[in-house]
Amino acid sequence: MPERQQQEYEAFIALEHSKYKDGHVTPEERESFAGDLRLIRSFLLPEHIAPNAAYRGEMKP
Amino acid sequence: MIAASVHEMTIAEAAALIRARRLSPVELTEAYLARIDRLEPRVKAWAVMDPERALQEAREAEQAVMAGRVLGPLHGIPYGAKDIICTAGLRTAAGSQANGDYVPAANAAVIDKLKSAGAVLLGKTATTEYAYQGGEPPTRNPWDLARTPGGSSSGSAAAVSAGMASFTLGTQTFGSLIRPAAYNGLTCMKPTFGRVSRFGVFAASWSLDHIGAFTRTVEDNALVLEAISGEDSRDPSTLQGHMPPFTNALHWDVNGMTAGIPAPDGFFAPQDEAIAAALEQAVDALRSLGIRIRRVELPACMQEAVAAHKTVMRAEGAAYHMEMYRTRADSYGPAMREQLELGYELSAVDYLQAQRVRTVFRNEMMKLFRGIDILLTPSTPTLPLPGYKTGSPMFNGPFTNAGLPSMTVPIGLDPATRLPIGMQLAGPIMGEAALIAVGHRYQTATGWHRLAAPL
Repeated sequence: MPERQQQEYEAFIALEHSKYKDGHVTPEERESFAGDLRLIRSFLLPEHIAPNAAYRGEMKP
Repeated sequence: MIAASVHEMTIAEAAALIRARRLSPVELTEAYLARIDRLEPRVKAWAVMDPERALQEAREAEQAVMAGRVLGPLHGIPYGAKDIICTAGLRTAAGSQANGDYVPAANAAVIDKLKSAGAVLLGKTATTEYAYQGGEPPTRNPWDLARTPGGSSSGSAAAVSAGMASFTLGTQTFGSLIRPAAYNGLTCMKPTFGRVSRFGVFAASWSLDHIGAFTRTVEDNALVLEAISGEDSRDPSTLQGHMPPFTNALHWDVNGMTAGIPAPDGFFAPQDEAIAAALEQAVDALRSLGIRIRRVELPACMQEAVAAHKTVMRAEGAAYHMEMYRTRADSYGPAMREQLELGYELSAVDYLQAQRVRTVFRNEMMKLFRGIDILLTPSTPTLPLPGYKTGSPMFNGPFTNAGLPSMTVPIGLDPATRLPIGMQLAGPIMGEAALIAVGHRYQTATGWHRLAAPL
């Protein structure tokens, strides 16, 4: 890799690592995680809906 | 005799020359290896190469041709495989220090299938760590070396775009096939969930992982899909029964087919004006081929579906890595570690509710296809971004989530940056043939897929 390209990549990796200096989960990702759970838990699911499973067989549109 | 532009040759073109004994698999392999030698220091598409092994496979392919035993259209065709796909005797590190110098004893099912088809493995292509978002490799976009090629199949896309392989294999758990293909001006299909066996491939998320190929044309993509698809008892999610001959769809008449397009300011609204403009022109081109265009309403639960998708990925990824994470957590990169940590916080009930949301979403997406044959959207919200972050997979996620087939074809260049733009075609479950038919007809009428990265 050309030297400048190498330096840019190393700087990027260092910046990525610095985002986690206060813990394994950033506040932004924690918020996103909580938001995802809120959406899933508040979604009204009919009783007959089962968990998505590895698909088998044919399903017509 | 090899043309000067061997690296721009399609699989179909090379296969015809090999069959006619006008092109030797050894010459073809040597040409790709020479191009890799020249360009790899700048593009960084490969995780590991094995030129000796490739040349040996090419010599065997050549001997078979001379003996009159051509195994099919992939016979003697050099390819690369994403470095989460196991290759016997060739290191498979999955872009992670946690996996170190793992050398598998056996091939993944797709590698065995390609070996049976006579294809020549050049090496393994760079990936983000375990095909997750984050842990980006140093791979560059051949259209502009200051930009990302996308990911997680970063090296697979860049290698074909730079003419360093005839085709490559990648995987998609969110948007890791369609997005990098679009960013690199390539054609790529994410088939129906279960179409291709994942046996021998590191899992990112069992119920979301798909395998597909990066090629220059739809015709080439159909050739590879035919070779790699099929039932496999070692991957219980594979579709049972006979696989359709996908190349038959290359001859379909698309006149009178119907394509749906969602509202341009909704979920699939691109952030770059050039993407919207290119899509409009591509839709006009399809209209002129006799395809009817209809506006469609997307399911109301798009955001909930995205949340369920992310939740399932976190839970399944955490479960898959649990044993290794327990003993080697510090070997993982921080972005992947973040997702695994969140996965371990999830309850079984949250995981199951997320999977139930996915069932609702898949059913709603299937209803979309009651009045249309295919759905058209931009392949990406933006052009490839400067730097190393691999870009947004949001436009590709819905079809991964629902297990529906999707494909991208190049439809133009951004006038300002000369970067490629892609159009995503999606279909109902097991509806690959319609995507191949429309995509191929579009490519016979336009020339965007023939443009090569200016390296």
